[in-house]
Amino acid sequence: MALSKIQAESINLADTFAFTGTVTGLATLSSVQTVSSAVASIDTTVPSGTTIITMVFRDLSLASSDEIVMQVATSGGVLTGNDYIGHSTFVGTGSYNASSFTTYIKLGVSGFSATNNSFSGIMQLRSLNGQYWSYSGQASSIAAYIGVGSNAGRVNLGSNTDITSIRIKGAGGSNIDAGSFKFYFE
Amino acid sequence: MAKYKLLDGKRIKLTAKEEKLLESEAKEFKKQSDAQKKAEDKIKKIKDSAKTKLKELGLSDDELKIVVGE
Repeated sequence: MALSKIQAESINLADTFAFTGTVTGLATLSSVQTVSSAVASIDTTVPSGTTIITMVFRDLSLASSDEIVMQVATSGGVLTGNDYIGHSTFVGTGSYNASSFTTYIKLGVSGFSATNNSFSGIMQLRSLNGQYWSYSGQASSIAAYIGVGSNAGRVNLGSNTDITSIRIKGAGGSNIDAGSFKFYFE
Repeated sequence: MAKYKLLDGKRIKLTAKEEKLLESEAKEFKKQSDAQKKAEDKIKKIKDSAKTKLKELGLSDDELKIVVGE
């Protein structure tokens, strides 16, 4: 087919475009999950073949004092053992706990998850060789603490190479009572 | 009280097995958190003790801050 050159003013960007083919080379906005009633966890399916997962979260809040964490699942189930190596640091006013952790990925830092607080941020996981994934992210607290918590680490999927889903939950079993998540898969 | 999860946008009641797993993970987290808190408290105690001893040797507060930290 002959190449058609379309200038910007020829496209109505307010219109709705229904793509029926495959658009490649772009990150896909998979889902927007919004917590409107308290839930114990938020699970999101990851498309097969994904090598980069980016999650943007806003206004996360807990029903009782706890830490909001992330875990990944493979075809063998959610990884809850010592499959993670991670460390958090805090940059800002006051000193909130820098800590290491091995059974989950922390989204904030210790102390961010008090019930009078909520926080927003970003977390990205990248496949290194399938088995190993590195992650890094940051979260800014809205109310109780002025500063940014940073997290970085690595996940070991063992004999698997695909992350099949992502789980967000209160590590101590508390419900998450508010917040929204956007997931981008590449 | 029943617990729920959000699965790809749908709110679903947890099965008894899922609730049990959640509870056992929460217990493990509490155990780890308590152990970490204990370790942090121990480090703080050692730092405070070191500060006191160094101060007795004549170090100023500014010097202590640089040598031992906050």
